Amino acid sequence: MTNFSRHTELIDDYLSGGLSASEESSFMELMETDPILKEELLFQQSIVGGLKEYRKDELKQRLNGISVGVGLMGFLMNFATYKLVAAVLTLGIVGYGAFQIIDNDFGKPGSYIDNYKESLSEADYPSVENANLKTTIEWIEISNRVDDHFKELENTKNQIVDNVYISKSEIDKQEDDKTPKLAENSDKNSSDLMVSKSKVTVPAFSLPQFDDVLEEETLAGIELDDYNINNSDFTSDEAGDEIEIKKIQKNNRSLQYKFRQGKLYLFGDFKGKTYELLEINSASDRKLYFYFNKQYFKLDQFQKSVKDLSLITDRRLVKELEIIRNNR
Amino acid sequence: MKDSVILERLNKGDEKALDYLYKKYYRMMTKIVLSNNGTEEEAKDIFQDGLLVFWQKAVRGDLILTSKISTFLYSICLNLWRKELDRKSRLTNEIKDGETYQAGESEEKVKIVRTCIDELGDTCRKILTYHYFDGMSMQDIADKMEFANADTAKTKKYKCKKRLDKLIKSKYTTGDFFD
Repeated sequence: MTNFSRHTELIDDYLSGGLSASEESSFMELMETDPILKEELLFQQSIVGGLKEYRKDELKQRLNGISVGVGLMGFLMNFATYKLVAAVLTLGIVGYGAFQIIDNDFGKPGSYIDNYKESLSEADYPSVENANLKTTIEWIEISNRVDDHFKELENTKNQIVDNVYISKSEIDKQEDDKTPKLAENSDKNSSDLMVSKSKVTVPAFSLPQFDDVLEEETLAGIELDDYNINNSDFTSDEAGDEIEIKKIQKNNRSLQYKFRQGKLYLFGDFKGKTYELLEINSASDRKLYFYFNKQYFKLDQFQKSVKDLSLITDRRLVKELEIIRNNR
Repeated sequence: MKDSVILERLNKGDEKALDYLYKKYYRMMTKIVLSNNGTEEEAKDIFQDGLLVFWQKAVRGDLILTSKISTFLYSICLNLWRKELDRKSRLTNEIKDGETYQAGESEEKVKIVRTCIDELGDTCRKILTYHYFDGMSMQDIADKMEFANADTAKTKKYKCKKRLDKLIKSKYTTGDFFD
């Protein structure tokens, strides 16, 4: 046996783990003194490494080809699936219950919500009274359905439907009474969902920020889906102070607004999240603030051209607005 | 199938026993990763790696089971996932500290070897990979490849390895290989 082939065999045994402790020790000593052997070892290490990787990939490919389809037990054990089914069931039950309540309490003919309700099947009409819903899925379902419906209205009337007006005090009243009433907006375009504070027609269900839902915090309070109805706050009790809001979906990063003929136009991507309009009236002044994504913005009601929403950084003002918004 | 039967089949390099284990324990083992901030893809990778570690041990015959296969597999997968989390954490810290991450230095070498392995015949490829990765004995290789005996397997392995070395050396200069 030549020196080289003896070396090769030694290296092979070393790489295969076939050397005893003493053999390994003398091999290492030999390697340190012989640069050719050392170079050969590095070369062989690379080859053996490549062979190992090759086989590993081969076996992994084999395993990837095996169907690990989930059986019935697996399906039931799949938590995500379980959650989804539970959420859909809950939504169905709660939605149906709420519809029954609304059906009894708001059944005034000719009103907007009455018409709206008629256009939806019972299962499609998601209303929940003071519900503490904890799953995102439910809200996505609700907002998608409502959104779809309003998109239909948009198509027929060529009008965006997200005019909003609801007073916080009225919402509180609703919470107390738990008997929301139906608005009659006979003088308005039927595609506009105008909710007057004196004639609130809001099926009361809580709408969480999706972030909050993810954190599974308890959802409380009454808000409405921003696709159709939003909260405004602190208005006088007289009808006629209503600020119509028209939301125009744009993909630009910043949120913008303008006022035109007393109507607030919002531009941007609100990502289906709730926004609120806060209105503070005094004898001589009227201030408007906008709340979105845990931030407050100042609105200038005389702003005629499109402008970025101006973020309020004054901590004191933010704190005050926070108190006002939460009606504390 | 009993654990002892599975182990016996694994020891002979029976890949169908590996398939069986994969299918049987997929959900159980991937759950370790999924319930510890891992993705489905990571979970699959960890389970496959863990199962292959088990496979190597079983084929080499240096595995004495004192518990159920599932328990053993579970501990392997758990350890692998811990290591992976640790690696990810270190990587994040290195990036935060501005250290540049150098992608596997030996990757190029592995690529070179892989190209040459592809050029080997099926028999040589199998003998070499069975020997070096699976750790199969010459007798088991002979049985699996239907050679006359272990000596035949040994001779074939020697020749195949020499061929591979030559192939690599003929295609690439030492400089290419050891830069």
